[in-house]
Amino acid sequence: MDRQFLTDFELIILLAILRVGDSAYGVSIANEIEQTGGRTVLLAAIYTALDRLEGNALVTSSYGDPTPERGGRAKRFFKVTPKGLKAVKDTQRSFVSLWSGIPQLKGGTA
Amino acid sequence: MTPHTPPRLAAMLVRLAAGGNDALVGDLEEQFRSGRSRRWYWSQAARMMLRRPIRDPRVQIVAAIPALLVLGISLGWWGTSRIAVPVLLGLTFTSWKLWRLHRTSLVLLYAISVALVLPEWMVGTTLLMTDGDRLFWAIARVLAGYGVVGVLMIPFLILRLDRSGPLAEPPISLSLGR
Repeated sequence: MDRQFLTDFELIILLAILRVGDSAYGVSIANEIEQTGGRTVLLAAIYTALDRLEGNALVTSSYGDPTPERGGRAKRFFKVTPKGLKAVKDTQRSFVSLWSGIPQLKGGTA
Repeated sequence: MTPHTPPRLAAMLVRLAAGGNDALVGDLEEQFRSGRSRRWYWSQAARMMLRRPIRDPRVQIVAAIPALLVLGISLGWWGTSRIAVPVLLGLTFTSWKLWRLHRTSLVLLYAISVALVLPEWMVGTTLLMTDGDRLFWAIARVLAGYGVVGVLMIPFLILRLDRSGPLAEPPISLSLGR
């Protein structure tokens, strides 16, 4: 059986990258998570998860040009790979399956 | 220092903890320059120091100095005191946690402990102990050594296991790809 495991945080990051689009880098990902998820995140934690996702070929990264407002450091842009997209879809499907058939959750939108 | 420059010490900690991840350092600086507070920047730096694995050998050396000092003081204390019960309790707890977290590290811990403590124990028991106490305190001293070295190693293990070990965020165990 093909198995792919995502942590909840990895799933949130993948979704944030997909929402941000081509300009997804550390700050924009963090802002997206904070704005849509209502939770503050540690930038280092995002990079730890991104490194793990890249190691599993779920995202790819590339460097932009250095900019003065970043102390002369380049941005690292991230994109979700087809494998990453499949993992997101599979996770969504699994969650939907888990969600269905629970009497306590019927009739509400949480 | 201008308001748009990150606090110097915190910036140093960030660079240290980032371990060469310039994109992360740049992200934090960009955030700070765009209006984040000094408190926010310090918070990020402190949490990075606690969270991220330490790969830089220089950091390991700096972190090892206080550990070695404590170890030296502990060895000296064992030579003059017979109160080992608290340390034994620490040993039990440490071993239990390590067994659950990372068994390879537990084996490594005990190997190092034996190497460090056994010579001191042999000299101490030979010179200081009476016949009646010899067996009990011989065992107690070795086990106490395990406990103290284990406590000293816990911060290193936490930092090292943070990224990919059992301290990393647990996966959602869903069966996918059906």
